[in-house]
Amino acid sequence: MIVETARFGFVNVDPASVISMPRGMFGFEEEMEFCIFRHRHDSSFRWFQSTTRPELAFVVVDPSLFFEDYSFVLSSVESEYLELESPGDAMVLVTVRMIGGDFEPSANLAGPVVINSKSLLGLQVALDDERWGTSHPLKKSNDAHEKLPKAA
Amino acid sequence: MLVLARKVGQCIVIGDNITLTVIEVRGEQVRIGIEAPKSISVHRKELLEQIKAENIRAATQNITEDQVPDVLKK
Repeated sequence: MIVETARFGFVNVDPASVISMPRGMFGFEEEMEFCIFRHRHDSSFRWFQSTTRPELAFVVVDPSLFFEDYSFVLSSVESEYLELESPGDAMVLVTVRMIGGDFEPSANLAGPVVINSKSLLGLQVALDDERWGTSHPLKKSNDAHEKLPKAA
Repeated sequence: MLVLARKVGQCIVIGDNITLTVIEVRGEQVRIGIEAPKSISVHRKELLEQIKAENIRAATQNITEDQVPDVLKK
């Protein structure tokens, strides 16, 4: 299928890879289908692009690459909604915003997107956990270069 | 908006299976117990508003592909 995007033009997307988000993203409840594009081959970032609204795309990242202690518990309602059979089937992405003139990336850890990697059914979850806010800097730390993960 | 006065320990029942109980009142803060079916999601409103606002900021940031760092090191 061809997806029209504001940033990448017309992109050929495998229909089997489209993520279904029946409840949309908070504030964007009308857009219920997304696809994921990798941002450059060596980047940790990906684009979470609406298949139906060309200008709607979020920069996303796997939070485990930057926040080792990030974890949360899905409610039984959420895991049942996502038809998750095991935690390993859950793919987690968080949105990233570039802040200020230096484009310092900052992640929203309070509203992760959880996707059943088998069925590609997704849900943005609201975490009522004071540890996780909507803006956590993705810090570069000089002593951790050895831990640089391969882009997923 | 329906406004009800309640004392500590008293409840409000909504529909068949949602019960709110006033647990404690301390100064300006009220602790409320909520009993509801698991299928009902319960959130502090400001949390949902914060996430919605962040989504809107993230989606409307006017960045081009080139302004996203290629590689971000931990």
